[in-house]
Order: sequence, then structure tokens, then C-alpha cells
Amino acid sequence: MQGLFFYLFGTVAVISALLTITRRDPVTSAFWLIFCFLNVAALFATLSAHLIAVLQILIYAGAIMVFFLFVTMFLGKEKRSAERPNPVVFGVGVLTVGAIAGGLMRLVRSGSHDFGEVGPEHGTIEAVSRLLLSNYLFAFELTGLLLTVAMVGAVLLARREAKGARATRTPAGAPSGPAGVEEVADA
Amino acid sequence: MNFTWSDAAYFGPEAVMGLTFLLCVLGDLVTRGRRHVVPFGTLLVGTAISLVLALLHPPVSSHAILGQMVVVDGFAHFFRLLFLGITFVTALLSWSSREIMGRDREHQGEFYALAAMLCFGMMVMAESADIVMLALSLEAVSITSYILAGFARFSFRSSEAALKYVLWGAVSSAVMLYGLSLFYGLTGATSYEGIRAGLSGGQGGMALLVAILFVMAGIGYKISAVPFHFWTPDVYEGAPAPVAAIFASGPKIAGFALMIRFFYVALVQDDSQGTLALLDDVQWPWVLAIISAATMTLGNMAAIRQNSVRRLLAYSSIAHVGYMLMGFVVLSANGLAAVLFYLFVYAIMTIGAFLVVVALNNRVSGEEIDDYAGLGFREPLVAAMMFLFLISLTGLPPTAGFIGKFYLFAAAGEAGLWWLAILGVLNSVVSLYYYMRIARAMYFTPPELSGRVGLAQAHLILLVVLAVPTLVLGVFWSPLKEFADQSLRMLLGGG
Repeated sequence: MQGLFFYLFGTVAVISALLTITRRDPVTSAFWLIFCFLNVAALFATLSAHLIAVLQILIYAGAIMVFFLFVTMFLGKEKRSAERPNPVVFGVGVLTVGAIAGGLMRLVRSGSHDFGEVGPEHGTIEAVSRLLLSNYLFAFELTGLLLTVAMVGAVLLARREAKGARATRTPAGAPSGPAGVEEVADA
Repeated sequence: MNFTWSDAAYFGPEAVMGLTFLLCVLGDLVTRGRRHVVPFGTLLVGTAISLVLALLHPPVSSHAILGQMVVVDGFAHFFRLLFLGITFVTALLSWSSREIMGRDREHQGEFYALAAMLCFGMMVMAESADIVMLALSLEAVSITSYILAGFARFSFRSSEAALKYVLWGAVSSAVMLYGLSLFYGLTGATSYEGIRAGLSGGQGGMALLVAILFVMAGIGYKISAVPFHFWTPDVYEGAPAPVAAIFASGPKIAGFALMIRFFYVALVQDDSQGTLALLDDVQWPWVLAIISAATMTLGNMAAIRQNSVRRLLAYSSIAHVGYMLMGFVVLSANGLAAVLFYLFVYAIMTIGAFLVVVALNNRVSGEEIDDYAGLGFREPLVAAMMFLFLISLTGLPPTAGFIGKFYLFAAAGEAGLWWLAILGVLNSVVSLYYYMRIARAMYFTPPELSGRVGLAQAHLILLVVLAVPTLVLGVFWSPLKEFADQSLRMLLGGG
């Protein structure tokens, strides 16, 4: 029964991933990507990794995809369709993926990957949070600092210019775009 | 758990820098004023305290702290001092730079906060003993760098530089994370030691090679090795000059530190004779030897064609990465000591050369080689210092650059990589040509304007401060060499 679900969700995930990279319209691609994420989340759920499944939906299918769509819509419809891929790049990509897939297949077949069985409490919210606040406390704190610096950067790069700060540099009557895109070329 | 207060004693300098970052942000928010003296002062004081703490308590043995996530040892100590020094000097040179502190500039306070964060991230990079920390610290340095690259956000070139940096960085981070996940999949461990233990059985094959290549891609981007170097000239040219000075020294050196620790702890073991040997199945020296050869050759060839001093220095910094990779390919303590020695010297002379660009940038608008015409007559001191840094970058005696290159080439020759050493020498000869183009412009081309350029006092003092070790280490290098040897002992000896 579990095998059936694995192949079902796995096949759908691979097909929707292929559709993601072959569609020409970014919005269509984005929706296929959401579908792919949902299937991967289902795969996690069949492995009893419920926390990861929920996080996958919340963070990837939720937050990140909304962000993708927002940016795509924001940039406007005209320039949305992607060009045909360069055949050389495409070939290199196919070869790389083939090599990695082949390597992984051989590795799985060889059976040398021995991860022990895990108990039912493995991967629960309690277990993960205990790890985060003990073994990985420093990594957790560093992530906090990372988010702080990202926030400082976002404010710094996206804030509107102070009124009159550089009146001499901005051409008179230039339309002021939304915050973050009002770049003025350095003369 | 295994997280105790006694860890704090070993982690003092890093903790101070992390705190400095937060205080710089806060200090800038609570004070008002255009010159932003508070964050600047906070950064200087924080760096000084951190430096004093590091010097007072040099690690005498290897300590795995904070849940075995980071290791404080002699190797970490070496880089800690280097990064603190770089941060201190670049903070001082930014203070007098028009590009950062000019009247029409914004967010000066945040610049110093970002410099503190960058220093913190680089120190953690050199200490990471776990692939979780490897990824996080690399990301901390990268994200801070993206912001710094786009710091002059009204400048089109700066924004372009930041965008290129982000795109390249995001792709290579993703590739590296995939490689790291393969390491975890192969061994079931995230710590370097655990990975070594897991791999010593000798399985892995194709997947291991892919994992190593992918991790190399991530680090290769950080140190701008060929073929991950494309962003370098654009970013160094587009970002404000003080930021370019930081990029050419700090993150690049941190990338080397991270690479050395990861590869030598996770993938190399002492064999029975007490020399270093690769784990079975692991093949990276040949890949790296080719990358090294390609990096120095391509960097030098591209530098010849440049007319912009900044682009020239950018390509020359790529070439230097090639030289330093040479010492990394050699599986020996000598090779690594040569890399450490060269990194130290490289930081001094590169910041020195960029400092001249920063200082002139305050007064002269252009950055072409022709804009340096007659500098030898107008500013004899600055021109002399620039000349000194240039011959050190070329690797001519009696400068530190010569000794550094000598050690690198000797280590490669000692390990039987003669073709690489000879290629390195040939490349140095090529580099003489383009470095001397700047010297020729300074001394043999008559100036268009006469009279002094009028440079900031602070920049002149800093130039002299950087020139002294460039010369002194060229004739009296043994203390630094011993320090480099000693720093490596804990990493290679005790495992």
C-alpha cells in the first residue's frame, strides 16, 4: 500500500517538475511547481515525517511560491515568456542530471547506505525543537543574526530616498517608481 | 546537553563581534547625525576588544565547542587575527572614503554594522566543523556581501554588481547545498569527523565525486576560482572601492580557510607513516590542480587587456587564487603553510593596492590606468607605495610577495607537481607586464595637471602602515612562517 502511494506521488512529482521547466509562461511554471511541492510533501507524509510535510507546504508551496508569483506579476506580462533554451546548455544539463541519477542509482543498489530505524518520536515537533535548542543552538542563533542582517539589507536597499537628499542627481520630473526600483544611473 | 558556559571562554572574540554587529545597528538607530560616529566607533572598539581577547587567549589545544559545531584551534586563531586586522583596516579606510562617507551618501551607519557582521561570519567560516555551520556561515558572509556590493544603491553599476553577485551566489549556494546533502546521504553524519569516519570504508564512487565537485563549486565561487569567477571583475568595479577592498581580501580568505578545514578534516587522513593521504575513492587533487592552472592563467591573460585599474586588480586577484590553490593541491603541511603565509601577505598587499584606488577616488574621477599618469610627480609617496604593492603582487624581491610565492612554488615542486610550479613562474612573468603598465603611467607619463592631488591624511598613514609589513616580511619572514606552521599543527597533527 505504501509502495503504491510512493510511486503515485513520486511519478506525479517528477511529471510536474518536468512541466515546470518546459512551460514557457512563468505563471504556469509556478503553478506546476506548487503542484510538485505538494506531491513531495505527500511523500514526506507517507514516510511519517509529518513536520517536514507541513513545513514543505507552509514554506515552499506557501510563502516562497507566493513570492515567486508576486515578483512575476509585478514585472508585468509583456516580458513573461521565456526564450528557448540554448541546446548546448540543455545538453550539458541533461548529461549532469543523468550522471547524478546514475550515481545515486548505483549507490542505492549497492545497499551501503545504512541509516538505522527510527522510533515514532523521530522528527516530531518536540524532537526537532529539542535539537534546535540544544545541539544546534548556535546554528539557530546564527540563523537569527542572518535574518537580522538580511532585514537591515532589505531596509537599506529598498527604502525610498530621503527627500532632497540628492536632488541634484535625480533628473527633474523623473517619474518615481515604487520603492526599490527608482535607480538613477550614475552619470 | 553539550552546550556549556565554559565554551564562552573560547568563543569570546566571535561573541564580541556578533554583539558589535547588533550594537552598531542599535547605535545607528538611537543616535542622529550625519557623520555616524557611533557605529564607526562601536566597530573599532568591538574589533579592538575582540583582537585583545584573541591575543590574550591563544588556543593551546583543539577545542570543539558549542555542541561540536565549531572548533577553536591554532588554525582558527590564525584566521581570526587576520580577519580582525582586515576589518579594522578597512573600517578606517572607509571612514575617509568619499564613496561611503560622502555628503550625498546614505546609510553610512549600516556600513559599519555590515562590516562587523561580515567579520563575524568569516571567523565562524574558519572554525566550522560541521556542514550545517559550513552552509550557515558561508551564507552569512554571502548575504552580507550582497548588501555591501549594492551599497551605493543610486549607482547603476553598484546595483548591477549586487544583482550579478546575488544570482551567481544563489546558484552556487544551491549547488553546494546539494553536494553537502550528498555527503550526509553517504555517511549519515554532518560533522567533518563523522564524514571522514563514514567515508573511510571506501564506498561512494560516483556520488562522492559529484558531492566533492558540487562543494568545490560553492567554495570556488566564494574564492572566485575559474570557472566560477565571472562575477568578480563586475562586482569589484561596480561596488564602492572600500567594499572592493574588503571583497578582495576578507571573504576570499575565509573561503580558503573553510575549504582547507573541510577537505583536510573530512577527506584526508594520516597514513601509517605520519604523512597525509587521501581517503580511498576520494580524488580531488587532480581536479584542483587543473582549476589552479586554469585560474592563474585565465586571470593573468584577462588582466593584460584591462584598462581600468579596478578590473585589472580584480583579474589579478583571480590569478592569485590560482597561485594559492597550488599549495592546496599538495597534500603536505608545507603546502598548507605556504597557503597560509601567502593569504596573510596577499591580504596586506591587496588592501594596499585597493587603498590607493580608494584614496585617489576621492579626488580623481576616473579609474583608468591613464588617470594615474604622472602620479609619481604629483604624489611621490602614494606612487612609491603603489609601486611597492605592485612589485609585491608580482612576486619580486625584496617584498613579502616574493617569499610567499617562493614557498608556494617550492611546495608544488617538492610534491612533484613541477609543471604547475613552472606554469606559476611563467604566469608571474606575464603579471609583471600588466602591473608595470600602472607603474609606467605613474612615472613615465607626464601629468595632465600639476600640483598635489591632496589625499586624505588617514589614507596616507594607512598606506605607510600597510607598506611596512610588505617590506619587512620580505626580508624577515621567519616569524610569520613559524606562526603559519604552528597554526596548522593542531589541524593536521591531532586530526
